[in-house]
Order: sequence, then C-alpha cells, then structure tokens
Amino acid sequence: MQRYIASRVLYGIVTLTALTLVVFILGRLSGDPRNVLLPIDAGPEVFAAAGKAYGLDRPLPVQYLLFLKNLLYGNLGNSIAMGRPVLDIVVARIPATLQLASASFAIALVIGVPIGILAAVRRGGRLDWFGRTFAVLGQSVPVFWLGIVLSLVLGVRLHLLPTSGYGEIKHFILPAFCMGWFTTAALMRLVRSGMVDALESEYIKMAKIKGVPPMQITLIHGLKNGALPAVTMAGWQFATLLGGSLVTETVFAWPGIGLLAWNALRWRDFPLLQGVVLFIGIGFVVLDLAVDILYAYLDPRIRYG
Amino acid sequence: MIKRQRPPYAAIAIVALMAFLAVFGFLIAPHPANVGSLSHRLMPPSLSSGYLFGTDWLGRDILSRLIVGARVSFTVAVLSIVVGGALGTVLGIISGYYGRWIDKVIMSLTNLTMALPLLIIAMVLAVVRGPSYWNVIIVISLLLWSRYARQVRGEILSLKEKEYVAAAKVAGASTSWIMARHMFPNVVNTLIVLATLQTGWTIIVESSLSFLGAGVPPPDPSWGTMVSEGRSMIDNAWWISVVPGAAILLVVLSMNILGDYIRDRLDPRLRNI
Amino acid sequence: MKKLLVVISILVVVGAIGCAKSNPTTTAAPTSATPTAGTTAAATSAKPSATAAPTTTQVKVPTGTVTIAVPSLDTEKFLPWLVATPAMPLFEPVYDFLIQVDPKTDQLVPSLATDWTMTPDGKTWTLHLRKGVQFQGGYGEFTSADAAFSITNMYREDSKGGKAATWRANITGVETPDPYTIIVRMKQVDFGFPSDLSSRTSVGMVSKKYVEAVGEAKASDAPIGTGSYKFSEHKLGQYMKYEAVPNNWRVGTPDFQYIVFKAMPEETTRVNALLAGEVDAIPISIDSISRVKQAGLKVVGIPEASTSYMAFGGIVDPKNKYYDPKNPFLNKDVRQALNLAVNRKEILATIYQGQAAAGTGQFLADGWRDIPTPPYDPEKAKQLLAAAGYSNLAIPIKYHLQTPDMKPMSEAVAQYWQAIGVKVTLVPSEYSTLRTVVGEGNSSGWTFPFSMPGYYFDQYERLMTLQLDPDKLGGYYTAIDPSLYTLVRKLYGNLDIADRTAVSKSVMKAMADGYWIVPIAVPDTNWALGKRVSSWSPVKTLYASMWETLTRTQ
Repeated sequence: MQRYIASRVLYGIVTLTALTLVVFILGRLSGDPRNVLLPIDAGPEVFAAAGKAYGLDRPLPVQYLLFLKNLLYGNLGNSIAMGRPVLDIVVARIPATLQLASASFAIALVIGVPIGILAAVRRGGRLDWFGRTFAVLGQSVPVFWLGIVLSLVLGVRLHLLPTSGYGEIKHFILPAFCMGWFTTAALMRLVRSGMVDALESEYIKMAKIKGVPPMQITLIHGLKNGALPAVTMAGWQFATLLGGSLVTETVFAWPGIGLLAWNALRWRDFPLLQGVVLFIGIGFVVLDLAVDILYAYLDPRIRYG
Repeated sequence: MIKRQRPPYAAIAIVALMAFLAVFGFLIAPHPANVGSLSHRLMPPSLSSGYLFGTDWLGRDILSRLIVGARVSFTVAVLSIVVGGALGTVLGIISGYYGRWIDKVIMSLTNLTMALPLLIIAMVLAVVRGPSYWNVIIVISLLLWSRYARQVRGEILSLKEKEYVAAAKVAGASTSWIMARHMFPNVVNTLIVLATLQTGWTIIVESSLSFLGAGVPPPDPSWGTMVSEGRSMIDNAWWISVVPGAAILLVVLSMNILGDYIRDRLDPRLRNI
Repeated sequence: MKKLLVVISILVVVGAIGCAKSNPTTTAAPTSATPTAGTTAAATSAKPSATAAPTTTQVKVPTGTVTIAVPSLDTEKFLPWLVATPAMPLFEPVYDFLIQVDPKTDQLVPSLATDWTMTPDGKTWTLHLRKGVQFQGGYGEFTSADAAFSITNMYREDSKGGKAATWRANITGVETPDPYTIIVRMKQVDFGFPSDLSSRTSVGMVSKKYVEAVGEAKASDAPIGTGSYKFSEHKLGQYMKYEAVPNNWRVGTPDFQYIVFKAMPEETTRVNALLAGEVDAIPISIDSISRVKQAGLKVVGIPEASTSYMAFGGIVDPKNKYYDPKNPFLNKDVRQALNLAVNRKEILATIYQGQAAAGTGQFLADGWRDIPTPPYDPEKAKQLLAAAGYSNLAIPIKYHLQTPDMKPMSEAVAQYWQAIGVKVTLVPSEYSTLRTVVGEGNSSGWTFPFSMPGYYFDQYERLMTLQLDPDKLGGYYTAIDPSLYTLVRKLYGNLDIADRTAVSKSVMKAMADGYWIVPIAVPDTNWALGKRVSSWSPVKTLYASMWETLTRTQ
C-alpha cells in the first residue's frame, strides 16, 4: 500500500510541475499587460520601467524559474490590475465557486443516483424511459441558455427564485441545478448501467433463489457494485464542474473564480490569471490523488495492477 | 437479457437530415445566410412572408442561417471528434500496450488535460489569436482526447492478456501488426459508440464557447452562435434563439438515442460508457 | 455502498471547507475620529451658485437602498489616480469635485471651488476654494493642501487617471498661497482645464491628512471624501456599499440611505434582475430597450455622450514606418464612396431604434450639428469606386466591443458595402489589442468601428491635436491634409474665443468634406430604472454620475 501511495504522489507532483509550466506559458501568451494598463501615449521609458516592475525584462526561462521559486514559498505574486496579492484575491473568491460545485454535485447525487437505481430496477418501464429522457435533455441544452430561460421564467415571471446573485440558500438553487444537470444525467446513466450489470450477475440470481428479500438485494448487492463506476466518474465530474463554472457564474453573476479569470484576461493580468488556473489545477490533482488512494484502499485489487 | 430493440427510426431520420443539410444545404437555402436587409429585421416566423422562421436583427433569414449553420456545427463536431478521437486512440493503444513508463507519461498527460480549465484556455486563445474555427476545434479536441485515451487503454489492457496475442507474439508477429490486426478492430466498437454519443456534446460546448466570445467567428452562423447571439432578444424576438436551440435539442437527442442503440447492438458490455 | 458514502463524505468535507471560508475580504467603514456635523456654508459667491444646501426645518431621513448593477466592479480601488476614468462612477458618491456640471444647463458651476480665473496669457489658473467644508470621518476641513494633493497625484508618473498624460506635459507647478486659494501654472493655454477639474473626469478631492495617516492602500480600500455619501462596506468581487450623510453642504440630504453597486457581467441577467425588481438601475444596450419598456419601466437616454463611426485604417503620416501608399483609403473617392453607400437613416431607425442623433464627424465640437450628413446614394458610390479603379475592393472590418453598438453597427455597414460590390469580411477583435496596433499606425487596408467620447467646446482641440497633429506619427490619426493642420494649428494658444469657435467650425467642415471617416451616429447612453426609482439627473458624460440625484418613488 505504501508503495502505491508513494507512486501516486510522485505522479501527482509530476503532473503539478507540468501544470506550472503550462500555466506560465498561458500567462505569458495572454498578452502584454502594459498595453492595457498604460495610457496610449506612454513613452518608451515608461514602458520599460513598467516592464521592470512587472518582471518582464528578464529572459523567459529565468522568469519561469522565478515563478516556480515564488510558488514554492506560497507567493503567487501581485495582481497587476488590482494591486493586491493574487493569493488573497483568489482565496476570497474560491469559496463561492467551491460551494457552487459542491451544490451542483450534491444535486446530481441526490437526483441522479436514486433515479438511476429505480430505472435499473424497473428496466424498460415508464420510470426508466422518463429517467433516460430527463438525462438526455440535460445534455442537449447549452448551460447558459438553460440559465437564462430558467432565470426568466422562475425569477422574472413567477418571482419564485432570485434571478441572480449570491448570499443565501435560495440563490444556490438555479445555478446549481443548471450546472449540475449534465452531471446528474451522466451519473444517472452510470448508476443505472452499473446496477443493471450487477443485477444480472450470477450471485444475485443465487440470492434471489435463496429467498433474500428483493429490496435487500437491490440496495445492498446491486448498489455496491453499481457504485464503483459512479465513483470513478464522480471525481472527474467534480473537477469539470470546478473548471466549467465560468458560464454559470457569468449568467448568474456568481462571484467565483471563473469570473475572476475573465477579468484577469481582460486586464491581461497574467499573475492573476496564472493564480486562478493554478488553483483549479492543483485542486483537481489533489482530488484525483485522494480518489485514487481511496479507491486502492477500498478495492485491494487495484494496488497491484 | 437484452431484448432486441427496434431501430430508432425517428432519430436516424433526423441525423440523416442534418447530414444532408450539412453537405447540400446551401443549395436549397431560400435566402442568403449572411446578408439581410434592415427593412426586414426582427420579423416573426410566418408561412406567408417568405421567412419561415423569421429574421434576425440584421434582417437575415433564420431558416437559411439554420441550414448553413448545420454545415458549420456539423463540421466542427466531426473534425473535433476525428482529431481528438484519433489522438486519444493512438495514445491509448500505445499506453495500454507498452505499459510502464510510457503508460505513466501518457496517463499523466490525460490528468494534466483534465486539470486545466479548458473554457478559460479557450478564451485566452480567442483573445490572443482572435476567434477562429480552428481554435474551437483545438479546444474541443483537447477536451475529448483523454476520454478516448483512457477508455481505449482499458480495453487494450484486457485484450493484451488474450491467448491469441500471445500466440501471435510467439509466431514472431511485429508489434505494429499485432496492434493493427488484433487491438484496433476490437477497439473500433468503443470508438463508434463514444463518437456518436459525443457529437451532441460537442455542439453544446461550441455553443458555450460562443457565449464566452470564443466560438466560431461571424458572420458564419453556427447553431451555437445563433443561440448565443439571440439571447438578449429572448422576450421580443424569441425565434432567433429558440429555433436553433430546438434544432440542437433534436439533433443531440437523436444522436444520443442512436448512440445508445448502436452500443446495445454492437456490444452490450460497453454499457459503462 | 461504502465507497459511495466515503466519497460523498469527502465532498461534504470539501464543501464545508468552502462554506467555512464564506467571509471573504470585507472592509467596513473606517471608524471616525470625531463625529462630524458634516457641514456647510451657504455659497456666498456672486457667481451662479451651485445648488446650496436648502436650509430646511423639516428633517429628511434618507431611507431604502438603491442597487445599481454594473458590468464590472473594475479593479475595486477607490482613489481617483489609481483607476482609469470609466471606473469613477463606482466611487463618485464619496467625493466632490472642484467644479460641478449642472445637469439641467450643462454648464460648469462652482462646487468645492467658488470661482476660477485664467490670466490673459492663459498660463495661470487661480481657483478660490469654498470655506468650511468638512471631510468625513473627522479628517478636518477641506483646504488648498488637499486640492493640491489631489491634483498633483493625478498627474504623477504612475497615475492611471484620465488626464494624467496631458497634465504631465502641460502643468509646470501647483501653488497654495493660502488655505483657500490654489494656483496652477501651465506651459500652454488650456481652455479645457476647468472641465477637466469637473465631474466630467475623475479628479475627486481627496483628504491629504487621511491618505498620509493610513497609507494609500488603506485609503484606497476605505475612501474618505466630502461627498453626500460615505463609504460603508466592500466585499471584494461582490459589491460596494455607501451610506448617505445627511445635511451635506452641496446636496442636502439624498433620498436613498444606501447605494449599492453590484457586478453583473451578462446583460440579459441585468435586465432579468431589473424586471424582477432585484436591482434598480442598470446600463443597457439598445437590444434590451424594448424588453424594459414592455415591462413598463423607464429608460433614461443620456444624449451626446459619444460618437460612433467607422474609421479607415492606415491613415498615417508618410514618415510612419507602416505607411502604405497603396492603401485604398488614402484615395478620397474611395472614402466618399464608402460614405455614400451607407443608409444612415435606416441604421438610426433600426439598429439605434431612434435613440441617437445623426453623426456628422468625429467630435462633438462647435458646429457639429450644422454639418449635413452624406446622402444615401449607392449608385454614385459604385461609380466612384469603378472610376477610381477599385471595383473589386476587399475590406476587412475589425470590430470589437468597446461599446455594445460597435458590433451591430459594423454588421449593418458591412451589408451596405456589400451591396455596392465590396467584399467585406468581419473580423472579431479585442479592443485593447486593436487600440495598440492602431496607435502604432499599423492599420493599412482595414477599417474598424470606434466610439469617441463626446467632448465639449473647451476640450476638443486637445483631442483634435491628438488626431490631426502631424508631429504625432501615429495615434488615432484620421486625416492627412496639410490645410487641415494649418487650421488646427490656429487653435494652439489661441485666446480669442470667437476665433476658436470659427476655427473649430471650419475644421469640422473640412473633415466632413474630406470624408475622412464614415460618421454614423451620436448614440444615447442608455440606462433603465426600476420601479423604486422615480427620477435621476445624470450629466451628459459617458461615465454616468450624479447618483445622489436618484429619487425614491413614494
């Protein structure tokens, strides 16, 4: 087990290092902030002075190494546009996105898993059909469109929910639903197919013959095996939610890191942009690592694979 | 066990229609798709005005734009899947077959790709290179390839242990021959199912990219761009967004149903996709 | 089962961590040193007075909150020299300016300055300041030290404020002979100086004591001024909140107790929020006007805040390294043809829905209304192009989103140009990248839309020099015409107002005769107000202001 954990951690570190390189290139690619922040008629001396201030005057590899060194000390630099430390800005905005992603995933679990189980149990029936249609619908509509229409109908016309904003539980409902529908659909399909497989296996048939009550069969045996693929999917889906929240945040004016990245890009504020992408990336790698180790703990076969 | 299902005729018809429009559509479009007349702007759908689905804010015919947009959306979807799928399959086969460090490197790359918020990267590309067709295809391919790689790798891992592979090795077959002859054909089923199921998703992602300003640049209409551009007129000119939105819904729905059907027919073991 | 439960618990833990951190950076209002009575002297000058605080016996209590949803909270800093002018409206409630613009008459009226005079040679401005105005938070009386502090900071090397570059080049010194007088010395006459000190730009009066006491960073986070609102709360990335200060020297007591600015980048969301009653004022583009009106809400159009036009690229001085003699736009017939091809009446009626005046030129300088717009004559346009040898012209339009109307305007113009046989390609571009490239002069062969902030009589010639001055090899150059330069040169240092007006009119006419741009519209800047707001008196600037004039519906 130790060796497995060690190898996964090493793996994670390698991915993280590659991530920093990609993030650095991305930041430099995003354009020269001086073009945006300095007035049009700034002379060449002002330009050069600003370049020195932002660390743009050294050769690129040196800039990268400096970037890496700062990173190891937990210093993400200062936002050029906002003048505050990037770490502070990102940390202030991350909770909103994390909460949204968690809420979306929670909705996906709460709606998707039970429907998946029921659909598997009553395969071919009306519930199955309803479940699958619901799933497919969730994957056939662009998120921003869904958000705008729901906001219009439920917020403006019916005054049932707030159209946008952040703060109370009621603000979570629409955005989490929109962002989570896709995941709900995916989870539902996975759980359903996993359960169907499990339900048809030999030992389930044995259990039925032995007279074990059907409910117990379903819940315990079926879910145990059906859940495994869902777990694999879950980690990946959560990460996608984190990174893909940009559209939802824009439509619902949600003050998260997606919108922060958008602003950073507009301002060509590469330290800030790097900070956001790095945070998301690190979050994913850590999550992935945790899921892997968890998996190995629960299913010993994996450790030796 | 699996009952023999009836082929989903409606779904097949819709997909076929979209493919037809994508290839020949420009011949039957009643009006030019990219040019309109301001005096006819924002007309609602009507059977008599010559604009079946109405016009947009520049007076362009929605129906014609829908038809021409089919080609754009379809091409983007197909190209993205081909590029992403090819990349993923090749890397997946190599990874699964050779194992060891090259496997680790490739799997690390898939992890890296999933760790990057590709929507943000799409926007950076759009800002830096200007929005373009190929930006969209690159981004969507990047989003897709790791799925293919992992799936294919899993298949290869189990195929590797089969007896006929060992037999071929003993008989002196070269690696590439084994890959081409034994590995790849068994993987094809997975590819077909994945591709069908993902076409719909690709169209949706393209629409979100357009909303963020990183989509296919105008004036070429794509269904996704049409939905995005019409969203501010949702109250007074709903047809600008709703018509292409409905088209997207129908096509994606059909592709998904078709994909499910193909998967059930080809190999029910693939139900985990 | 077990595995699923474990995964769920991990995610719950993660979510809980997220929730536990839900107290992001909140800065609360600085605690006052001594409570202030915040007050006043009624304006005593003989000049037309600013609306002085009405001495009223009935006590008015500001109530309620007005929420203004803007596309972005910008960089969320509150000192005038730390931000570019467009961000100014976000902290305007806190500060006062030396000079105010009267929303009804559009004239400059005294504010923190009671009068201002210029020496006949134009090189010195003397301003007398209002006595007895107190800063919030007990930071003492407003004096010339604060005025000098605010002005000199605006043109320091790293200032991002609007007039920084011009002032740096022109102001030689600022003196404060006594606490209520300030003297500014310049190299060249600048008739626009009072306007620059007014609420048209962003030179709010900042308390020197405060900034020196707490440092710039803190002063920027929790600003202090003499305005009718004081800073209350700021949640980074979410909102900014201001609280009314009753009995303000200038405004009296505003209607609303709180002003809140929220960021909502997506316009459809802003309109939805307005319609649902969640916010009270939003900027909107023309597309949303019918939605708002259908719901029975008010639309306030601020006229003459800017001009929208199509600019020809590559119009640069021959000495510029990017000068291309083959640039089709150097040919006057081509420019005229492209002007005649556009049906402005139709564009104004459809794209702008009547919320715009006809554009006649780049600037709103004196005489802009008298210039006739080019007629709509596509046949003549075709002939001109053919005669000039450009029947197969191909023009890219690099459009951007500097303002929302840039895209539909470009698309409409593209259609008219296509109708006369020009091959037009629309290229979406990013405004800041485009601006840099155009500034260098590397724009030969393509066109782009532009929105020029409207300037007034006393300011336009500075802009004209930026545009037309042959000594600037690049810049937003729009015309190459030696006679035009001679005309513009007559404005430099010219102290005769009547003469300047006449010169301005001739320059405008010469620009129009040369067809140097394709003027389209002078659009309104549109805002929508919700049910809780009964009126608002903004000033004719691009960056809306005068939030204190928002009145509550009874």
